[in-house]
Amino acid sequence: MTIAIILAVVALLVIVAFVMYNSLIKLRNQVDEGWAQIDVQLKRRAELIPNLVNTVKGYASHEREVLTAVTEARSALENASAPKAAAAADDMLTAAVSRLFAVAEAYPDLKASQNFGQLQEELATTENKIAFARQYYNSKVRELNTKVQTVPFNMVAGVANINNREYFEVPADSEAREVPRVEF
Amino acid sequence: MDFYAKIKENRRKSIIMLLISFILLGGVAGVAAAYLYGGFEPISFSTGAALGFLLVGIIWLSSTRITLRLNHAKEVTQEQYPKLHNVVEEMALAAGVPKPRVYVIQDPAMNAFATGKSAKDGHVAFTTGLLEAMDREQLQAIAAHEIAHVKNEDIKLMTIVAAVASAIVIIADIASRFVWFGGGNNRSNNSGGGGNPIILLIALLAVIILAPVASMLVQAFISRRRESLADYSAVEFTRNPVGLQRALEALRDGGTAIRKPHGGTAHMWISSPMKAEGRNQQSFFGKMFATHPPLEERIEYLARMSGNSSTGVLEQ
Repeated sequence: MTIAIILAVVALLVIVAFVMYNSLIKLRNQVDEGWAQIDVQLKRRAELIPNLVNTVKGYASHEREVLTAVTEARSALENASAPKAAAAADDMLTAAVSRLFAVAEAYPDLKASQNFGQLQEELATTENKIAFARQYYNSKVRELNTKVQTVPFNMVAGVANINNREYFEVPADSEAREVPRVEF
Repeated sequence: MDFYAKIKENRRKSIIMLLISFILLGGVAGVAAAYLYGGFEPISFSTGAALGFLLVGIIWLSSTRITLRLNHAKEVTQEQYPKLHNVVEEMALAAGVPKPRVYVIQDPAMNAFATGKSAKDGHVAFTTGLLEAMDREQLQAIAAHEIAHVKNEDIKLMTIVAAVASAIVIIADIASRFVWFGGGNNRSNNSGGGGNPIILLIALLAVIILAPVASMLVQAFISRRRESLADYSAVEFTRNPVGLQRALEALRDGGTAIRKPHGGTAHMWISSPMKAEGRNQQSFFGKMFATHPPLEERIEYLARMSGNSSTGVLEQ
C-alpha cells in the first residue's frame, strides 16, 4: 500500500515536471519565432537603405554627412547579431534615416519623385513592423524570464538548461539612447 | 477586474454558452428523430442527435468559404492594396499570429469582419467605404480589432456557433414540414414502449419554435462578449486607445449598415451590418438579440482608457 502511494506521488511529480517543461519549451519557441520575425524585418530594412541612399544621392549628392551616417548605421546593424546590439544599431539607423528624411524636405524634386514616395511608405511600414515585432518579442521574453526565475519552474529550467533571454531594447544608460531625434 | 481576469471570465462564459448551444442542437435533432420514429427511445433520440452533429460538421467545413461569398468579399493582393496589406501585417506581428488573408468588399458603408477556422487560417475583410474614409491610425485600430478576433480564437468559436445555429434552423425547418404534412410512423405507433404521440408532438412544436430563438440568443450573447474583448486586445496590440476610439467614432458617424447584409453572419462584423440594430438597442429584447454592444458604450470605454494612466487603463 505504502509503495503504491509513493509510486503514485512520484508519477504525479513526473507528470507535473513534464507539463512545466513543455510550457517552457513552448515559450522558448515563441521567443525564437518572435526573434525570427524581427530579423526578417531588420534585413528588409537593410535592403531598402542602399536604394534610399542612391535615390537621395541623385538629388542631393553633397549631403555627404547624413548619407554616410545612414550607410554606417546600416553596416553596424548588419554586423550586430545579439538582440541588445541589434536594438542599439537599429535605433541608430532609425535616427539617421529620420535625419535623412528631414534633410530631404529641402529638395522639392526629390520629395516629388515617385521612387522616393514609395521608399518612404516601405521604410515607414518596415519601421512599424520592427516596433510591433519587438513588442511581441519582448513580452514573450518577459514571460519566459519570469518563469525561468521563479519557483517551481526554475527547477525544471535548471535541469533542462533553459536560460533567460535578452530583450530587444537599448539599456537606459547606453550611448545610442542619446542620439538626437529629428522631428519633421 | 483586471484585463486578464476579464479575458478568462469571457472565455468561461463563452464555453458555457457553446455547451448550451450544443445541448440545444442535440435536443432539437433528438426530439425530431423521436417524433419521426414514433417514440422517445434512446436509439431514436441518439441517432437524431448524431445526425445533427454530423450536419454541424458539414456546415463547419465549408463555413469560411460561404461567409466570404455571402458577403461578397474578394481577396486582394499586396500590389492592389499595399497600405492595407502593410497595416494587416504590422498587426499580425504585434499579435504574434501568421498574417491573415486580406479581402475587400465593394460597399460604401464602413465595416470589417474576420473569419476562419483557426488562428492559423485567418481571413480579414474590409469594405471600400472604410478604406477610403479612414487614416492610417484608424485603419490600424480596425485591423488590430480583427486580428484580435483571429488571435483570441473568436473566429474558431464563432464559426462553430454559427454552424450550430444554422443546423438548428435547418433541422427545425425540416421537422416543421413533417408536422404540417405528416410523415414518420407515429400514427401506426408500432414502437412498443414509445411515448404518447400528443406529448411528442407538443415537445416537437416547442423545440421547433424555441430552439432557433434560443440559439440566436446564444449567438448574440457570445458575439457581444467577444466584441468587447477584441476591443481590449486591439488596444493591447496598438498601445493606442485613441486610435480605436477615433475609428469607432468614424464607424458611428459614417454608418456601418451594408447594402446586402446577411443576418446569419451579422455577428462577425466589427459593428452590426444590419440597419435595425442601432435603433432597437433601447429595449430589453433589442439588447438581448443585439450581436454587438452599442458603439457609444465601446467608445465611452476607450475614452476612459485613454484618459487614465497607462497602468489603470484596463481596470473598470
